[in-house]
Amino acid sequence: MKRKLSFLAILWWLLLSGMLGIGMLLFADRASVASEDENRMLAAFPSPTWETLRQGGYDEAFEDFLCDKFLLRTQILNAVKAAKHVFSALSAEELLYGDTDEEDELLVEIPEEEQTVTQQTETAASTEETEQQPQETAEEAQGTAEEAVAGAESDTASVWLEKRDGTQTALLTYSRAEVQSAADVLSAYAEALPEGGAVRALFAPRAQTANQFALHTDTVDGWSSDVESMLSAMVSDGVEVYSAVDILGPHILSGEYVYFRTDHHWTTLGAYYAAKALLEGAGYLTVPLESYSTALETGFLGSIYLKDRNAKLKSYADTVTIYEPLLPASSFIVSNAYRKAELPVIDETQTGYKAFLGGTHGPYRVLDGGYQTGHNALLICDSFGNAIAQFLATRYDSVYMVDFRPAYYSREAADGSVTEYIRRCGITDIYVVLSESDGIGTRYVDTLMPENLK
Amino acid sequence: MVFSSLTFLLLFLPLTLALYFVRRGMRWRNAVLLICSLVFYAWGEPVFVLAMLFVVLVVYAGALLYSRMEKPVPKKLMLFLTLLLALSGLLYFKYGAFFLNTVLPLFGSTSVASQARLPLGISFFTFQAITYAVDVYRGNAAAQKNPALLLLYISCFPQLIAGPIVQYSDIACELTERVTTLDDFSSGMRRFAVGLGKKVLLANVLGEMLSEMPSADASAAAAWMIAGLFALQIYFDFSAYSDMAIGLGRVLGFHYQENFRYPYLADSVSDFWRRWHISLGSFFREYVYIPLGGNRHGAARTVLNLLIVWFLTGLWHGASWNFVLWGLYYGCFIILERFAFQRSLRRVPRALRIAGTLIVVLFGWALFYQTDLSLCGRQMLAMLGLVQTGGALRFISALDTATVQVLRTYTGFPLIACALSLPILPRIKAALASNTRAWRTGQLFETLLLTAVIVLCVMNLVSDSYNPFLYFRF
Repeated sequence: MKRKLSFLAILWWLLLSGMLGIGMLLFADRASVASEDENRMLAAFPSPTWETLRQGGYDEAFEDFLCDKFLLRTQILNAVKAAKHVFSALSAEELLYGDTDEEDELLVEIPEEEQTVTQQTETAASTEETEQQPQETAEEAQGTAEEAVAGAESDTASVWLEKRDGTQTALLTYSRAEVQSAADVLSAYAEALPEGGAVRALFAPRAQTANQFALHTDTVDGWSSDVESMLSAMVSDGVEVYSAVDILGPHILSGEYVYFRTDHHWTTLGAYYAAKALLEGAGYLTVPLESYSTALETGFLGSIYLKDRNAKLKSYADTVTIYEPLLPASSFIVSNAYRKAELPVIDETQTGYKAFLGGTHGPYRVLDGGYQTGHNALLICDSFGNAIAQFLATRYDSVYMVDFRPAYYSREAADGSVTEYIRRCGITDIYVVLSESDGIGTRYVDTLMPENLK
Repeated sequence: MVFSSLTFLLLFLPLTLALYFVRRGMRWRNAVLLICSLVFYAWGEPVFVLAMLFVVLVVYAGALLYSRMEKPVPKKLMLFLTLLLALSGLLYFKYGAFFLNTVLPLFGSTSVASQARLPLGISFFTFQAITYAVDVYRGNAAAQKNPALLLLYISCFPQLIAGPIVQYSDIACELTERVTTLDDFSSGMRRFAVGLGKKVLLANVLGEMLSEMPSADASAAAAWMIAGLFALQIYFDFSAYSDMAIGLGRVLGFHYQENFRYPYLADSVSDFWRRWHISLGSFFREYVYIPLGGNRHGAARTVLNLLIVWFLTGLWHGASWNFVLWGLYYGCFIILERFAFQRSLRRVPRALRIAGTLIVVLFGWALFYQTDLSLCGRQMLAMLGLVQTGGALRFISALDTATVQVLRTYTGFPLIACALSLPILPRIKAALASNTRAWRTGQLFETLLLTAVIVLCVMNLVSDSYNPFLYFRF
């Protein structure tokens, strides 16, 4: 009896498996469709070509198709992640940014962790890898901080977390060579502008970095940066460097919601403060935030949550505040300096951070804010630019935007260099707004920006 | 294709078994099995099927030729030629670049030969072809006149890609006469399910843990953790594949030898190698050690033969000097156990012998894991509590934050994995066997548990799109 039971159970399993497999082959959607939940394109049914069959890539593509189109995939993903996290003793806060517990000081050596570059496939609401920065002991931090204040002779520049016990932790560290490289690129862009124009650069930390401050204001006094002072000393006259750390620090200390918790981006409030500083630096007044009408989206779980789908992070769900444009605004894809397909300024079909301009598009975009100022700006950015663009647009006829990451931009699609776009579109100012993932010391600044300039 | 994939579980396996069992005739079943095995291999490696066909053709023709020869010298020459041709593919694909990059610098060349793409399972099916060729030469088996049957023996999908290495003489009869009883089917599929669970739910998670560990010289704990995690990962990964291969073989009517026997309970290095990858050890004993003379020509010759065998064992695992050193590392220990410590080891309590063997094995896995010899050296130093900075040695930190982070992320999981590497479940089954009612309840529970394991495995596979076995390097 029990042998039959076992045999029957196995038979049923094989039957169900076979039916599921054949059912998927026959009825699953064979096209590549976008998954909102995973923020990527799901695999299409692979076409067997001589190349894939010869090189053996067909089996992987077929397996990806079965996995991506599996029945109840999202529910399965959530269940699997939840089951894996049963073993986890990490707190939700530790999951948000990695642990920087003071107990670390009891351990002799904190190893350097690799910095990874996440430009190629980062979309507005996903981050596959987190960057973790070296941390130094208090004595080394003290020594390095003193050298950085002097500015010119230091070999590194860092963003520091200032703790109440007097110690410092380096959140981000760049070598002198990396800063110099970024300075050279910014100066080259300034040379391409007509006389009177300026490049205004701001490199913003991601939420994982900022929340080590924002979520610990009881033990942290603030944060500081000597990166911008080193960078400012190296750039040409046509470049102005702004410190996101200095701009956002007081707002973080006062408990304002300038960075998301479960997503790596800044909030619209954080973007507004950055835009305000940039525009005021250019001599413009900014529109007060109270002038905008707002719409709220609650329950937003962004890239930090999506990375592991840890249920512990659900209690940290974010609220996205949309600030409606004050004047009728429009947005277009731009190629060969011409406007092409129209894009939404606020995309109501998208959720979370992707509501801003409907996410990142390429090769260029233009945001026409409805203002007549006689000036046009170019915003060189990554996804952090999507939230700031509408505030910059209040002082320009048009704000052209470009994200050089290969997922969004190719020279062929753009059909023109940045220098040509500056000439043809009447660009008078350039804003460089990049997150730490695409900022100093990354391929975006060191390679993509210079190779697309001319 | 791999066993732990949706393609295999949802399509290949149900369809193959349905076609296999739809008719009783052996010709039909062999034809289905052969075609499905070729599809199984070609699915991932369409061009390299030709490499496998070449090996089969060589041993088929060679065996037929020398099986008719009576004079020993030409017969031996023909065997040698057959083996050389059969090994040529393995030597080219796996060792060509390694050999050139070792020899060329001796002549002052700075050019670097790039590694050719390796056909999956080439080490396994080449060795199986060798067992056939030698078994026929020795008269242990008749030369197979039907090329399809020989191709079936070598390409049979359960053991094609990662073993166990099935000696021809063990299953020659089953190629033409085999029966699958209800018990064979059920127990074979249960064994397959156990293997699938070991691979997907244990080995893969251990692999994730390993990938999150810091470098081995971050701290002593990191070095030992990496060695320990890798020891568990490679055990579960490889023994899982063997379980699945043996289980599927049984379903199809083949009875393969066991390949693992709880190796981390070994009380000596020699015992470890009688429990780990048993089929490989058997192969080298039968087809290398014994033909070299074994232990029949005095101590010095025995030592030399052992060193050759272990040199080749290491080299078989990978075309890299760390694998060669790993093989020789075990060779030295086995030589010492046989000639120096045999008597004194017997006086040591078994628990201590097991602990000592485990330490030796963990150091061995450090040598295996780090293909870069300098990294390997750093890990071994770290396991001894030391680190080299500049030219000096100093003590390394005991623990580091990244290792603590990993331990806290996967709290308890390594302990569960350690427990499952021991024969706890078989002991429970044996204890229940004396009580009929408990035994029946246990059987029912086992069926339900294995069903849950399969469901969890499928769920895990949905969330991981690609899932190669470690031993595919070989």
